[in-house]
This record gives sequence, structure tokens and C-alpha cells, in this order.
Amino acid sequence: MSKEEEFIHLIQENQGLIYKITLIYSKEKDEQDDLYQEIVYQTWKSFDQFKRASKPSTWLYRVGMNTAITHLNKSKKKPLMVSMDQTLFNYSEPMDSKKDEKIQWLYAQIRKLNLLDRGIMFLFLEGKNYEEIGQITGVSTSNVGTRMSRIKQKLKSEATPKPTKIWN
Amino acid sequence: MELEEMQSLWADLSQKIEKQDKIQKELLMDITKQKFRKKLDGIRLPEMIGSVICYVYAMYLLSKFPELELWYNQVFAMITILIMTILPIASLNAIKSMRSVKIGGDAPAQMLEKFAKSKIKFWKVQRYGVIFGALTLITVLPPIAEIKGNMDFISKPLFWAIYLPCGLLYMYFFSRWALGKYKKVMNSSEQLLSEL
Repeated sequence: MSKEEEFIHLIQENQGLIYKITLIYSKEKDEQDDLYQEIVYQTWKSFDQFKRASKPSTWLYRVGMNTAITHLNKSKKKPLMVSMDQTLFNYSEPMDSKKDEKIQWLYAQIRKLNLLDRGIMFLFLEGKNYEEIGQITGVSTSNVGTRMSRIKQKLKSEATPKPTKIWN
Repeated sequence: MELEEMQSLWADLSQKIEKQDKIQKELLMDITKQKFRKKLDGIRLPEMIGSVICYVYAMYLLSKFPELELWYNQVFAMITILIMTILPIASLNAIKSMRSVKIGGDAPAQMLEKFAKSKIKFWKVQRYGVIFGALTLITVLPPIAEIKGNMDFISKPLFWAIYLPCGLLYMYFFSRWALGKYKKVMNSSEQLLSEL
């Protein structure tokens, strides 16, 4: 399998993961598309490191989160170079409206956290344990625990989901 | 909402996302290639142009150095050459350090720290750049005047009385504008660090 084919396979297998990172790190559809492109680009750029990585999933989480953090830091809206209309990510797929509302509330709450805590919460929701979260984010396991309890408190203190529209 | 409920919601969402169609191969490579070209053009060009201008000027002064007979002009020429050689190297080095943050290698916490530190380093280099740039305003003229065989105008106190305040005023406003831009970058780095 050529490098290009391996890369395409990796992205296709993990496109959901990349998509979820864009959801928690950006709010607007354009920003999400731009961030998606940036993550794909950064993955390609550092693809040789991926081949040496002992745990490919850890590596991909890192690339995605690091890209999101640095991308947000630039915070400049740039015109999209490639239209993402063809990506077939369908936000408006009909869902249980109450559930949809709750999910949107959940995104909104996560986006209120600081950049690192946002990543920690994302990995927690992805089902990673504290040790794995620590390995991916570079934060000690005990620190992950401390941060998680703070995040829990913060989320608990928020009101229950209110019917708000987060994006179109 | 409890965390367990959030996890269950997230699992639902993950399942839904997994059902999406695969991103098309052609589109994927288009994204990658276009981003790659854009990055290369945007980052390298302006800094490289500035450095080339400095090096061309330094080479010119160096080639004309044997023509300088006055000792103070030799000193001024040496200072100018050194500034025009070292400053671009320092600046390019600082940018290289910013760009060397490994998105695919470091953990987010380490990456954020490295990113912020290299930006601070870049900021320092820019500040020294302003100071030495102001010094070059003085050191650059006398050797050039001797090379061109026109020492008259720099020996007139009136020339310096006009040139120096105007030059320093220009440097002041230019550096205020440039450093203001860099300060914004530094502040955002500090904000990132403080969020850790």
C-alpha cells in the first residue's frame, strides 16, 4: 500500500473522530470545515511520525487536538479553498429532537471549558480512562483526575439543557 | 445532566457519525495539497525576502570594505555588517523554533508550552531588532558616504540635526506598529499558557 493510500485509509477510518474534534473546538459550520481541512493537512504533514507511533489512535487524537488548539489561536476566518459540501457530513439528519437539544447543550457546555479541559472532557466522553487521557494530553494521571472533578463540578453547576439553537 | 448521561449521548452521536459515508479520496487529497501549498507560501516568503535584502546589503558593504580609509567608517561598516547578518539569522531561528512545534509528536500540554515559549523568544528577537535597527540608522550612512565619495553632507551638523530626529521618529512609529502586532501574538500565547 502506498503512503497516499495508507493516509486515505487512516482518514477514512477515523473521519468521525476528526469530525467530533471540530465540533467541540469550533461552533460555526465554516470554522468546523476549515478546522477539518487543517487536521487532515497536519495529519498528512506528520504522517511519517504516525508510522513510527506505537499507538496510532493516541497519535491521531494528539494531532487533532493540537491542530484544533493552534488553529483556534490563529482565530482568523479565512475563505475555504476546497468546498466541503461533498463530505456528506449531514448535520441536519433528523434526530429525536429532545436528544438533539441535549447534544447541542452538551457541545455548548464543553466549548465553555478552556482548551485543555475541552480535550480532556472529549477524551473522557470517548471512553478513555484517566491514564489514557494523560498519555494523549501530556498531563499526569492525577492531574487528569483533579481536572475531571473540576469539570464535573462546573458542568453540574450549569442549568439543565435549555432549548437553544447552537448552529443551523 | 450527569456525566453518565453525557457519555451515553456521546456514544449515540459517535454511532451516528460512524454511519456517515466515507470522505471521497479525491477531495481528501485536494484539501491536503492546497493546504500544503498555502502554508509554504504564507510563512516562508516575507521573512526570506527581508533576509535576502539584509544579506545583499551586508555583502555590498563587505565588498567595499577595503575602500574605507577612515577608521570610524570601518567600525561603522563592521557594526552594520554584523547587525545585518546576525539579526536575520536570529529572526529566522525564532520563526523556525515556532514552526518546529510538533503537532504530530508532542502532547498538547507540552506543545502549548513550547508554542508559547518560542513566541516569547520571537518577541525578544524583534525587540532587539528595533534597538539595533535604530543603531543602524547612524552606522549605515558614513561608510556609504565615503564609498560614494560624498562626505560633504554627513559632515554638516544640519544634516544630522534633521536626519537623526526624523530617522528616530520613523523608527519609533514603525516599531510601535510592528511590536504592537507582535504583542498581540505574545498575549495570546500567555493566555494559552494561563489556561493550562
